[in-house]
Amino acid sequence: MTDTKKSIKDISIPSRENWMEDVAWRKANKAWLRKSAAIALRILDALDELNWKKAKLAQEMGISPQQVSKYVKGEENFKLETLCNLENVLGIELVTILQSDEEVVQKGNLKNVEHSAKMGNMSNL
Amino acid sequence: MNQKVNLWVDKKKVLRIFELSGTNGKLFSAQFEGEEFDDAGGIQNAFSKVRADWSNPIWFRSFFTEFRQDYFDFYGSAKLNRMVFEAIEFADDLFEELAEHAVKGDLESLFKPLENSENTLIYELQKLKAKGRERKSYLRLYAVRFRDEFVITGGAIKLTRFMKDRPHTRLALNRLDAVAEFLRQNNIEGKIIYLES
Repeated sequence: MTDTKKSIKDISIPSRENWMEDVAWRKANKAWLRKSAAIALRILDALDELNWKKAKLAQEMGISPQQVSKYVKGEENFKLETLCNLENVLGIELVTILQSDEEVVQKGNLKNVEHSAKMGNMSNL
Repeated sequence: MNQKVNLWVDKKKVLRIFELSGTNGKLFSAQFEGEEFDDAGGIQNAFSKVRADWSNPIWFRSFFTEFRQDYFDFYGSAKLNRMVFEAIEFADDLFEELAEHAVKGDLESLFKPLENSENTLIYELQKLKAKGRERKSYLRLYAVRFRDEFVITGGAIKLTRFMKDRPHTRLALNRLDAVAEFLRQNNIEGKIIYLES
């Protein structure tokens, strides 16, 4: 059987994109990228709830629609000032700093926590 | 839902093949019609397109909104945002794994035959898939092999048993055929090698 000497390299052109650098960058910045994606999803949820388009959010914040597109792409390293503006305009909470004696409880579990706290208080009587 | 994106371009005409940087001429990507430019005007190919889509929460959100029931049927119910987070995690892991294999010059152990029945068979222009280490992952990269060179034809979220069951996986299948045909037309052909089992 004859085997051709031609290879795929012979018919290809080089890509100028440095994809390995991008992959390494995402790996090195994973922690804040995850938080950025979480913020993007919360913004998208809020836009749906308000029935707003991204253009409306841009208008309300006095920024360009391109900037809003960056916010919801999950790769924006947000300033606290930007997050506060987003919170004000959308009426949502994006950043909460928990004190050492506070913890997050899902709404559905709130009754159980209140019940446990009550029982705890009673046992202290 | 307000924020929608085009989930895929339903075209399978191959325009050209790009050699991916840092892979010693072993990893390539096809470029399909409709993928010439991204939103910012940069030149795109099937691989850069799938990487852009799979790091974008809006893209995954649109996908899982449309195919939510497929996910539920396969993995049980979950909240939309949870699915998006999981998918971004799977995608980062898969691309990291691909980069590791490309650097080591060991793409053969990442890309497996598309047909499970071809486990012990290697042949030129064979259709392949990469799932990555995460067993639960539904993300797939697809490629065509020629010797130790691999041409990525795209990726898909596979939530059904057969690729023909959904339009996006059917398109991925058609694109594998289109790339194999493109290579054939450019005189990239070879021979079948049977491995000892």
